[in-house]
Formats: sequence, C-alpha cells, structure tokens
Amino acid sequence: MNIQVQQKPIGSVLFQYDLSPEKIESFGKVKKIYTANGTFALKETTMTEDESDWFIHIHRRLERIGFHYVVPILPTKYGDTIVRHGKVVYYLMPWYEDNTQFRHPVYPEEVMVEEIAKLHGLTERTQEYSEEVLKESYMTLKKRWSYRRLEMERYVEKTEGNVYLSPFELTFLTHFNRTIYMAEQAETHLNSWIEGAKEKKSFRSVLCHGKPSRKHTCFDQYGTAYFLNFEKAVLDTPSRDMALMFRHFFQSRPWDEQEGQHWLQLYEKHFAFFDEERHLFMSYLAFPESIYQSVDAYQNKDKKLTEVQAVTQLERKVLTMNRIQRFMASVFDNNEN
Amino acid sequence: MLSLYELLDSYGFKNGKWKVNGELLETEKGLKRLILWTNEKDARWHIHWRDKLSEKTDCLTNRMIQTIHGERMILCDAGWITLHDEVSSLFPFRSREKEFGAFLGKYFSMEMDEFGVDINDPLLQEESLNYPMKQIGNRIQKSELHFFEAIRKESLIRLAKAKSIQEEHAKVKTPVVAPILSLDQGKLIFEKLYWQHTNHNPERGYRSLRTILSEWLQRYGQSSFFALLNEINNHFPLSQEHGKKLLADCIAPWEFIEFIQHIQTLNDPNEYAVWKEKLTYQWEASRELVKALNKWLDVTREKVKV
Repeated sequence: MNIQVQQKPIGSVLFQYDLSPEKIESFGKVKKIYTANGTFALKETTMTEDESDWFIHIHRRLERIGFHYVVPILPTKYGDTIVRHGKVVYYLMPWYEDNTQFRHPVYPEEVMVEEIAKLHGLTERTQEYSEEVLKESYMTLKKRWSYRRLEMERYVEKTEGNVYLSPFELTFLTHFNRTIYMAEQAETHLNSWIEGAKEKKSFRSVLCHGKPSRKHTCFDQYGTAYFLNFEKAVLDTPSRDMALMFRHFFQSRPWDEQEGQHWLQLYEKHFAFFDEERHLFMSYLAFPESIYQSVDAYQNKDKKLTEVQAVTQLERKVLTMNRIQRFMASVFDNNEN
Repeated sequence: MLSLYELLDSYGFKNGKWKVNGELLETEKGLKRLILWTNEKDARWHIHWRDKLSEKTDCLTNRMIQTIHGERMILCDAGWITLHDEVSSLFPFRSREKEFGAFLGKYFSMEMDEFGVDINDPLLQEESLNYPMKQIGNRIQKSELHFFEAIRKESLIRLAKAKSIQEEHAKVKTPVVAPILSLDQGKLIFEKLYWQHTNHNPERGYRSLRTILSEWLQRYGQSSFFALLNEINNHFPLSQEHGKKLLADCIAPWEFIEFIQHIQTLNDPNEYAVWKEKLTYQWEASRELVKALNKWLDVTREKVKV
C-alpha cells in the first residue's frame, strides 16, 4: 500500500476539522499533524457506539466539573467530539509536548497521584447499597484468583517432574511459595474489604481513568500533568485506579516502601480511602498476577523472550512483589498505630 | 444580512472575501457557501437530517458549520444563516454501486422527527391530466394535438395502474427524505462521497429515489443498475414492500403532469419544442426504468422462492 492511499482516510477526517496538514508524523495510534494553524494530535482507536457515547459523556462531564488536568478534545467544525469510520474512531487534541525537564524539581509520580486524587474527589458518588452486587464482585474476583492459583500449582507440579529445570522454571519454583503467600494476603484483604463494606452498608464510586500511566500523561514545563486517553474510563472504586497506577509506578522505576507510602499519603491528602477501600487497594496490589502472566508468556512462548530475558523479567517482578509485601506491612502497621 | 466582518468574526475566520456577494465566501479554510433560511423549522430539520445521515452513513454531507460559540445557525434581519463547505469535484459513481447503494439504502430508511415542517407530498390525481384545450390549442399547432391526446390517454392508463398498485400497498410507510434532484449532488472529498443537499423542504414519497435510479440506469446501464438495487435492498427493503410502491411511482406519468403545467404558461412556440423534447426523453427514460425495475423485482422474487 502506498503512502497516498494510507493517508486518504486521514484526509477526509482532517477535512472535518478544516485542517490542511503540512506534515504528518506517526507515533503508534497517534498522528502528529503539523498545520499552519498549529500542531495537533489525531488519535485513531476502535470503539463501539456505546463506548464512544460513554467516552463523549466522560469528556463533557470532566469539562462540567472543572477538572482541567486533561488534554482537551477538539470538536469538528460541525461540533462532533469524534469522527467515526465504521468501527474506527478518530479524535483530535492539541499537541501537548511532554516535558521531562522542568523549571523546578518535579516528581511525576507525585503529581499524577495528586491529580488522580482530585479527579476522584470531584467525581465521588455514594452508590445505592446492594449486597448482591458486592457479593458478585467479590465472588468473581475470588473465583478468578482461585483459578489462577490452581493453574500455577499445576504448572509447578508439571515442572517438578522434569529431570532438568530451565533457569526460568528454577527461579519460579524458588519463589512460588512466596507468590502463594501473597495470593493469600490478597484474599485476606479482599475479605476485609467485603466485611467492611457490609458493615458500613455503603460503597462509593469515582470516575476511574482506567489506564493511568506516564504514557497517558503530558507534563508541561512547570510540572502540571494533563491526562489523556480516557477510552477505558469507568465508574468504579477508587482502589482500582490507584492499584493500576501503583502497579505502573512499580514497573517503571526502582522504588521502596517509603516512597510507596509517600505516594499513598499524597493521594489521601486529597482523597482519603475508607478502611475497606484501602484493603481492596492492597488486595489488588498483593495478588501476584504479573508474575503469573510471565509464566503464561513463558509457557506460550508468545513474547519470544530469550531465556535470559524471561528470567530477568521474572526476577524483577519478584523483587516488586517483595517490595509490595513490605509496603503492605508498612501501610497496615501505620494504620494500626 | 450580516456584514462580512460579522460573518468572519462569528465563524472565527482570519481572512475572507466574497467570491459571489452574499453567497460564496473565500476563506483561509476554503470556499464556504452561505444559505439563508426564511423558516427556522426548515433549517432545524435540515441540521438534524444531515447530522443523522452523516452519523448513519459515515459519509460527508454539507452539514452546518458551527460558529465559534457552537451555534449551527445565526439569526439575522432576513432570517437564519447557515454556512457550508463548497465542494465542486464530482463523485465518480462508476463501479461504486456497493458504496453508493449502501448510502442510498440508509438515506431512504432514515426516520426522524418532522419538527413541524411542511412536507411536500405530491398527490397523483386524474385532474392533473385534464387541461384546458382552448388554452393549449392556442399555443401549439393542430398537428401536435394528436400526439398530445395519444400521450394523455397513455398517461391515464399509467395513472390507473400506479394508483391500483399504491392502493394495494397503502399500509407501507412512505419514506420522508431531503429531496434529491440529481446524481450530481454527489461530490468528491479525499476519495470519499460528499453529499451536497439542496435546501428544499423534505418530501414524502419515492420521487427522489426514482430520479436517482433513472439517472443511474441511463448513465451506467442495466447490470450496474441491478447491482445498485441489490445493495440498496440490503438497507431499504426494495424487494419487499417498498419495491412495489417505488414501481407505482415510476409508472405514474409525472413527466406528462409537469409538461402540462409548463405549457399552459408558455408564450414562445420555441419553448414548446424544448418541453416536447424533454417530455419525449423523460417518457422513454421512465419506460426503461419501469422495465428494468420490474425485471429486477421478478428476478429477486424468484431468488427468494428458490
């Protein structure tokens, strides 16, 4: 396919914004569009009609509640938020340069945590209490975790029968009991969550970004973060968004439990968790799904990692798991004190 | 009307000048056409129709461009102003039966609120074929009267046939659409269809579909015509209820009704010749359309039976 043909859908999309591109650069699903009227980011994604209606609703709501830490979506000349071509959806944003150097010391994780806390605070809503809904969520998660544990136990049994173990298998077997301990911890916290919620007879939801990560944030030179990509945004417990964000932090750079605590404190300065939410947050973090995913990938050979790479990745995840264990202990020690 | 300055300011254009005064505006964002609506309801109906059509078909149309304040029309002394892109390149329809058929099918299956607008609803009446002989006799030569009467008789037969089919399918809900006058309303933007609507009131019935199908048949021939109908049928059930009502509309002698209406007001005998030629052409085109449509309906019916 030649370049001209590939650009054609983009041409008819940009026509709806009255934009004549002078240069286009591709960054994955985002196209950087240079025009005489400025530089823009055109995102291409797939959404069903229900999903795009929700996406539009989210952006209108963010505007209405005055949450400004968002890269705005620009309407077409007809006032549409998105442009649809069958299942493919396009939306346009001004191009925000993502700064990594700032005018004064800025720690991106701290900014992101604080801004997410503000988002949660602005969208907090107490849900009508339904023990059935709670129980269903609880049972779904518990079943999934039990199933995953069983899968890993089977893998261990199979591996233990091997005469020679590969370095990856050996590493996993060495730490397997610890993963089981963490899975049990996750269940314990999950039980504490449901007991707490039942006792309180209420639970709350917030607007969760759904994919909070550095990749979905642009920093200006003053260190203000602007979130983008609300395609997976949902109304859910704040614990979900925080667990996703912390997991992302844990994987992106070295950290220790003090730092973890500091991020949590910063979050709670703006939006304090209820006790049961803290338990849920911790249960999400504690379950060693990330390690189990490495095992899946190793078994399926789908990532095509070399043995050394697979072992290195696994060891890194084990290290993170150990840190989470210390983080968990420090959070609940502090709370008990 | 608004001044040029007010207009540019409202729509956020940096530069602009009239290409055709009060109608066509040249801006840094391309040519824009200004439309004046004297009735707000008509404008509102068209805004909703075009938005909905664009959403349903994924095709571009001459939708109303919004002002910097998000308004789709502006009130002025003379009425309501809307602004649209002006596109001149014609869409190449040849071999694009699938794409255009899907568009037409979705176009005629659209349903929306009527917003209290006046809907054109042409009625088939026998009286339309009666004409004051004295008045017409003065305008045309006596030798032409024979031709005239022969056509009228044939028209009455066509009218009776059309009415009987219509009555048979009276329960079928007739589409209400933005009128289509010609295939030339299809324009080209980045290889995509850009449908340029007229600003006429919505109409009830099959006139637009008949017009477009007749033009297609004349331009691209029968096999392309069948391919187009097959695709329309995937979105708008022509092989079922709508096909027969469309056939009735094609059989009705609209071209003769139009001819009579025009020649009653003619002064110049040369104009009569032009109208007669037009009638002859349209008569033949209608005959071919009915024949082809009937054949397609038969073939489709047989396919269903198998």
